[in-house]
This record gives sequence, structure tokens and C-alpha cells, in this order.
Amino acid sequence: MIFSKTKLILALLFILIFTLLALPRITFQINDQTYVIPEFSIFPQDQARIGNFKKGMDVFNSVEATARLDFGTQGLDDSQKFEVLKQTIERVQNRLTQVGMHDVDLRGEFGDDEYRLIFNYPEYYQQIPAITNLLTRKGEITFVNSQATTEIDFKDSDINSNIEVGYLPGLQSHIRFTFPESKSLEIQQALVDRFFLMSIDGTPEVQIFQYDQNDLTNFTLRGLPNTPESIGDIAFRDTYINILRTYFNEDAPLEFSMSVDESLSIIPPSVNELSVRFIALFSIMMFVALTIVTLIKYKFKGGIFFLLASATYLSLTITLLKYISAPLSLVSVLTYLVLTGVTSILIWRMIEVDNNEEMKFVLKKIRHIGVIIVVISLFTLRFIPDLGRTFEIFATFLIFGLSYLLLGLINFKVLIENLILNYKNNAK
Amino acid sequence: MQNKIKKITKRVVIIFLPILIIASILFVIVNRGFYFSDFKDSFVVEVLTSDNSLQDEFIQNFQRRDDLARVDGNKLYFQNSDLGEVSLEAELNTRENLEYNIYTEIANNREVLINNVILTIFILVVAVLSVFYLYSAESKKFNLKEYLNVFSPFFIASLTYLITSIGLLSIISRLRYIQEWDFLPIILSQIIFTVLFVISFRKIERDEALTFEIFSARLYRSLRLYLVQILIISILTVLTFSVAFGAGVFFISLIFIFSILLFSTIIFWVSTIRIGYPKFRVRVKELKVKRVVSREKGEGSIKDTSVKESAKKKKKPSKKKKNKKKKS
Repeated sequence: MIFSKTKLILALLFILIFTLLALPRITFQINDQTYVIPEFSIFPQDQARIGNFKKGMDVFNSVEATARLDFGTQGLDDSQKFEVLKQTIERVQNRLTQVGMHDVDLRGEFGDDEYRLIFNYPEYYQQIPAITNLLTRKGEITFVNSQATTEIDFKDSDINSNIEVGYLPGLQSHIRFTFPESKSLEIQQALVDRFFLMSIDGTPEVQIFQYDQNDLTNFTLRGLPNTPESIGDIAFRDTYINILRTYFNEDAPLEFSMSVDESLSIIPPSVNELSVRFIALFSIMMFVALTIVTLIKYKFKGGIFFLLASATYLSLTITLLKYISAPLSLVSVLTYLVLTGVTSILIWRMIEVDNNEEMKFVLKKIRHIGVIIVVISLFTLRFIPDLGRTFEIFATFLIFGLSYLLLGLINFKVLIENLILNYKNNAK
Repeated sequence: MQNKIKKITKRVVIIFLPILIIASILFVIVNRGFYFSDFKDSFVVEVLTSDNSLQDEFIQNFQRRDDLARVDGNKLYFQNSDLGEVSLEAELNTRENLEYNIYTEIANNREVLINNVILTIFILVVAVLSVFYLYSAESKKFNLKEYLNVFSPFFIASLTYLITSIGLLSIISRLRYIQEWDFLPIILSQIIFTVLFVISFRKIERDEALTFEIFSARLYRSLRLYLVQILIISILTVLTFSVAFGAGVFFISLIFIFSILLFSTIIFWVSTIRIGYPKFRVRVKELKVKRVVSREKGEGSIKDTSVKESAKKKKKPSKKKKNKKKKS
């Protein structure tokens, strides 16, 4: 009995901690003094976020950037130019998919002898012109010596299959190349000046070197981008490296270069009526309505159980979504609401449990559902490319699957034992 | 050996052939069927003049054209039309001080559309496999034939849902512009449907008197209950959104999903009748008789209040019957 009470206290503590983590930071003013509650947050805070969530598509504004194809002096006719535009869209879309920028919309436009690629970014993206510029580069990679005077023949060193994003406290995010021992001579020759440069479309942009003794013995090279944006902004550096990696996966660079417009257009959300306030109010109303229905249907203890079980999964899923910096988009909100409905049905099923055996059976089912959802979501996210906005559905599903699995093992069991079974046994 | 191979081939064909047929039907619908949609290239006429009255007048002149897919602010999107014809009409409609720009927009989400369809089929296959796993894990009483029997209503309902929803979208696309996120409710409902099916297994394997008919009937009875709950939640959501926004895009989408759910529930109802509900009634009667007999003999400890009530009802004849007896 004492052990059971301790478990209940631990379960309540679990709920309390995750509820605190899930709560948004509230800012208000009294007599010209601004108060922020809670004062600290373990999640990143910036202008592009709302309550720790990224500002996603269809609920917030989006930003449109334009890149124009430059055909130069080549005399292509309209149909050839159209073909080039289509191929370029395909290539850039591949780059977007490989980098994992699933929420960026891309389309093509042509008219008045102008061939354009239009990018539609959610509001949370920073440095949009620089990102667009990287995505639309030809992707022609060459290696030159430290003075950028002589080309180094390094492309035959299987470099394409050995490129990764590395992280070291001193360097932070950087590119890491790992080679087999047989390539040691090429590495030595390239590093004759201690470092050499990697050029993209003829411009030297990445400095390549060996960082420490381990690199020497492991035949590892590290590259650090030296563009102004990637030096000052670590998040952008990650994006830079990820896009750069896609150039290595391509058979040949793009045929024509593109110029990116510096000016950006702000596009209002497609669902104008759906404000963040409405989403919050609607969710609270739904939660209150479901709790009242449960109180009527399953009496007081059932209602309390519903309240605590809902608080557990809601706080856990919101914290996990905050942790992965999920975007607050129409798709993710809709999925979250739907899954909240499904979870309410699962909780109602838990209230109907009559004995220990049945509880084990129901919890086993919930864990099974968790496993199935996690497997489907991981498979989909990993192996089905070009999912568009469906990507966010499965990211939300993954979080719910994980929480079913975790709560089916720990919290739900303690809550059912203490609030449902004890009560039913006493009533008997 | 040959018979075994024949049997296995037959089973594989039973499971995968319908999936293949449905996949090909869907592929054809997706590739040919959408009249106005995000997935097609468009001719765009963009009005550059900021004068609102001039803009409105220009746009109104195009409203009667049946190739006008949508109007988005100062942009008119035309699909299934000829660029020369649109340009000519724009030229004819232009006042002196109105500027406009015509260009072609190339859609880039065709892959997304096809992948979404692949995904829904994938979800169905996962449902087939996971439910089969659950059957084999929970109970060893049922063979493949019985499993297919239990699974068929769910399978039929899922497929009907998928085809009708995409088919309906295809019809609606002649009246309304179909966007990428119009597919999301379909996928979400498909997932909910699958999850509901999986959670409908209730304390089945511990009941010793359980037969295949009772098992399937119980399964579908609990699934129907869940579907009713989902329908109630859908009605509440639709009502809330309609009060909040009126007839917006979101509202239409919810209405759409609600009607599809309702339709699939009806299909589901009809198809489950085939599988054991009448048989279930017969079996329950048999069970009741067994239980009454065993209690009279003093065996077992099964508590069944319904049996008691039915027994009491049998003992006490109704007043109408008594009156009839008196008259006779």
C-alpha cells in the first residue's frame, strides 16, 4: 500500500514537471515593468517562435523568395528553356528533400522571357536570401590551394561517400571528411600549406584542415565555411553544410546559374480565420468539454482520472514537440487535435477497466498501438521522400506513439491502480 | 506440395490483388481526375495596378470563364485553357491605365500527391499485417480463413472510404480548387480508422466459451461504439467551426471529412452484418441456455444478470397473455 502511494506521488510529480515544461512563457506588464513567467526556459527563444514553437505554414505569414535562371548568351528556344526550368525545379526540390526542408514550397514560373523559381518559406526561417542562394547554386565543387591559385585534384579520393556534419566544442558545426588509409598520400599532398580551400561555383568558401592529432591518425579532414553568414550564425552554418553535402550527391552541377532577388514578399496565411488565440481557446474548450462528459459518464473518480491522464499525455507530448522545435502549422495543429480525440477514447477505455488482468491487457494494447505508430512514423519519415506537409502529420504521430509507449509502461498503470481499481474494489 | 503452393498463392492473391487493383484505380484518378488543383500547371494573370475598383472590374470580367480555377487577391489562375485565348481576353478587357502580367506557373507537388496515395495504401497494408500479428499473438484459435473473414469488413470499409474520398475530391475539383492539404483529412481519418480497429480488441482471449463468431461480433460491436464516438466528436467540431467562421474553407473540409466518415460507417455497418452478427445472437442464446443449465446443476460461477432477467421474464407471462387466456 505504501509502495503504491509512493508510485502515485512519483506519477503526480511526473505530471507536474512536464506540465511546467509544457506551459508557455507568459509576458505581461504592470506599471511599465515587464514580467516573464517562468523566468527561465530550457527551450530556445527568438522572434521566429511563438510559445517555444516555430511559426509554421498556413497559420502565420510565409515569406516568398525568387531566383531567376540566367541563360547567358546561349541561344535556347522557349521549349528548351522550359525544359531547363523543369529540370532545375526537380534538382532544387531534391536538395530541399535531402536537407529535410519539407515545409518549404517550391514552384516554377515563366513569362516575358523570364524563368523563375519561387520559394515559399515558413516565417521561422532566418537568412532566407542566403539559403535560397545556396539552394540554387550550380554546385560545382573544386579544391584549390591556400592562396586559391592552383587547383588540387582531390575529387578522385572518394570524397563523395565520406562527407558528414561534424561537431567539436572548439569548432562547433563543421564538415568532416573521413578517408581510408590508402588515401594518406593525397591528403598529405593537399595539406602541404596546412590547409586548402574548397570552392563552390568558382568561389573559395570552405577552409579544409586537420584539427588535432586524432585527425592525423584517423585520416580525417575538417572543413569550416568562411562566408560572413555562416561565421556569425551557427544555425545557418548547419543549413549551409547540409545543403553543401547535397552537391556531392549530384552526378553533375546545374547547367545554368541563377540570381536571387534580395527583396522578399510576405504572403498572408491561407487560412486567415485560424489565429493562435482561436487554436488555444478551441483546445481548452475541447479539453473542458471532454472532462465534463467524462465526469457525467464516469462519475467523480473517473473524471479525476481523465483529468490526470490527459494532463500526463498532453504535457509530455507538448514538451516533446517543443524539444524537437515543431512548427505550429495548420497540419500539425489539426493532427494534434485529432490525436487528442483518439487518446480521449483510449482513456475512456481505461476507466472501464474492472480488474488487474484487464488493466494489463488494455495497457498492453496501448503499448502495441504506440509501437505500431512509432514504426509507421519512422518508416514514413525515413523512407518516403517528398511528403510535403504530410511530413508534419507523421512527426506529430511519432511523438504520440512515443508517449503511448512510455505512459503505457509507467504512468497510466499507477493512475488506473490508484484511481480506478482501488475505488471499484472498495465499492464491491 | 503443389496443393500447398496453390493454397499460399491463393491467400497472397486474396490479400494483395485488391490492394493492387485499388492502387491502380487511385493512380488513374490522381493522374487524370483533378480538374482544378494545386497539382496542375496554371496560367496566371496578375493585376499590377493598385486601384481597387479597376482591379475588381478586371477580375469580374473573367468570372464567367469556366477555366478560371481560382482568384487569389490580385492573381487569377486559369487551368485547362489556352494561353493565347486568356491573353487575348485580358487584352480586350484592359482599360488604358491598367497594367497586368501573364505568366505560366509550374506546379511542383505531383510527387507529394502520388506519395500521399502510396502512404494511404501503405497504412492499409500495415493495418492488415499488424492486426494479423495481434490475432496470432492473442489467440491461436483462428485460422487464416477466419482472419480474412473478420478482417474483410474493415478492409472493404477502408478501401471504399479511400476510393470514395479521392473520387469525391475529383468531382469536387470541378467546382472548387483542390489544395495539397485537402488530402490531409483523408489520411488522418484512414489512420484513425486503423487505430480504432486495433484498439477494438477487448479481453477476448481469456473467455473460454469464446468462438470465432462471438469474437468477431464483439470486435465489431466495440468498433462501432468507437465510430459513434468519433462521429459525435466530428459533429461537435464541425458545429464549433461553423459558429466560429461561418462557411470557410476549413468548414467545408470538415463537412467533407464528416460525410466521408458517415458514409464509411454505413458501409462498415452493412458489411459487418455479413460477419456473424446474426450468428452472434444465435450463439449468445446457446450460451445463455448452457449457463442456465450449468447453474441449475450447481456448476460454474458465471455471473450473468441478463440471463436472470430473461429467466424472470419467461417466468412471468405478460398481462396481455393472461387476458387472452381468460378470454379463451
